[in-house]
Amino acid sequence: MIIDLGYAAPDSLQKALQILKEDPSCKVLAGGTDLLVKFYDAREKMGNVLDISRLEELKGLEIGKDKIFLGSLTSHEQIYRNPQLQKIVPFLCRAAKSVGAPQIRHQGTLGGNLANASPAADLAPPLIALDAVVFLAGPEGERSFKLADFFTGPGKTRKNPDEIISGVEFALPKGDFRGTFLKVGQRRALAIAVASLAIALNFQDGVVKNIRLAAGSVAPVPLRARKTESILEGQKLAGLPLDKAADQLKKEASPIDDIRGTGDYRSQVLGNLLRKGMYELLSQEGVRENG
Amino acid sequence: MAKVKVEFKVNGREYSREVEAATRLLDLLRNELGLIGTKEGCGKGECGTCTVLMDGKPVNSCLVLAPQANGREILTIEGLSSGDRLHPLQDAFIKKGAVQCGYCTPGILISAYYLLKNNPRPNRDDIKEGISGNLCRCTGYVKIIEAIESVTEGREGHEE
Ligand SMILES: Cc1cc2nc3c(=O)[nH]c(=O)nc-3n(C[C@H](O)[C@H](O)[C@H](O)COP(=O)(O)OP(=O)(O)OC[C@H]3O[C@@H](n4cnc5c(N)ncnc54)[C@H](O)[C@@H]3O)c2cc1C
Ligand code: FES
Ligand code: FES
Repeated sequence: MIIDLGYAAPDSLQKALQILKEDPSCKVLAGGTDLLVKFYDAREKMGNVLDISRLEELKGLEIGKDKIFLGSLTSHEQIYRNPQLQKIVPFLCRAAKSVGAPQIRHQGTLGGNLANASPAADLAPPLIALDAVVFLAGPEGERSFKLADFFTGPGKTRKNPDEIISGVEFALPKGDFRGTFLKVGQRRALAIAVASLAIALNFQDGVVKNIRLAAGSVAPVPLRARKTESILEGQKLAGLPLDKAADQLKKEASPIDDIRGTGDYRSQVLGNLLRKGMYELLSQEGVRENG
Repeated sequence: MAKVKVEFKVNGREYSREVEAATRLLDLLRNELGLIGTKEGCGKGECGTCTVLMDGKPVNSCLVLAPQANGREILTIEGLSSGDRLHPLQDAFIKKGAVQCGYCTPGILISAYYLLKNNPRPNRDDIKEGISGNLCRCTGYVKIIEAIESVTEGREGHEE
């Protein structure tokens, strides 16, 4: 079943995995918004293409009583426009809305965003802050990782070449849950993040609980900032140690200089995003400072 | 190299072609079907002048492999007018002076068409958002936005 025409669009995940097993070097194609840019100069070097964009198994978007599952072919537009997601996890929708422009949002997929493993992938921070798990389908069955542990370097993940991301899952937020996603780019549309930050937490009896922070574009991978979390966890809303937390967050990050900004600038922005994000969450309706 | 068969509909018409796997939808439309209204600017998803609708959704045809269009329905700028009658958006672009060099125009019209189909009464921000994936080096966008606005007001670009 090896690809004979340089292109295959199998009609089942099982067939796709079979093809990948026989030829792990073939390029998995979903929306193509990363892959075709990468091979812009040399499409003939792309080699065999395994088009997974028609696989029904990867298209689900299930919102259950306790869990939400997003199939890997879910587009940014589908995430951004989903009315239930907008209600339950509006900050995830905000991240999806911040991606590229309408064309890119319609074409680009969740699975591609994660597999591409850019430190700037906009869906990674909110999903890490939601403690999402990523599922991989492979020849030996299914594996899963906490998304926070999935990325190993720029463009690198713990996914094997013969595996396909099937989707991500996270628990439905409970209690007085709040989340935000802030992104600084160089312009309002078609902007890759200079720095981004997702915050998810509960405000419980006037105290910060279960806080998770995840930052984009400030480290070789989307970064879960656990040390900064521990500074804020359990603290009273009145008088949060935000300066201390922002300093720690800058220490946890290791931003580099590139065309979009210097490391120092990114670091400064990151600290400010934490302050801004926390103020935003604190000023939302229904926050009570003493329980 | 062996070729991949692509059977699809463009502007309501059925086509069947054999292409090399690495051919882009943009190249298939322009070079094989002669639909040269769709332009190539950057080839990297940044400029939007290659925008077409695929199964009703706006995509950059420079980032779609031609075989991915198999079984799909494509709308290009050539499909916007009906016979000699321009689409109201096209009329409005002419009347409002929203076209200068015209290179961005096919893509922007497709984006605007998609916007209005899903949101017949967009405000200015919706319009800006709707065409945010399309670059124009000439007009400064003001006339383009005014042209789209004039159609949403139900004036279809006929009034001044
Ligand atoms: C102009 C432009 C603007 C952009 N702006 C943004 C932005 O603001 N924010 C942002 O985060 N991204 C942005 N991107 C990047 C890109 O659009 C997204 O990362 C998108 O989600 C990629 O998804 P895709 O389906 O198009 O991936 P593809 O290009 O199809 O694939 C990307 C990579 O992932 C692999 N892959 C895809 N799906 C799977 C799967 N299910 N299992 C295993 N491997 C898989 C492919 O083999 C490939 O290596 C932009 C891209 C462009 C061209
Ligand atoms: S040519 Fe396709 S987006 Fe520029
Ligand atoms: S009219 Fe020239 S690029 Fe828009």
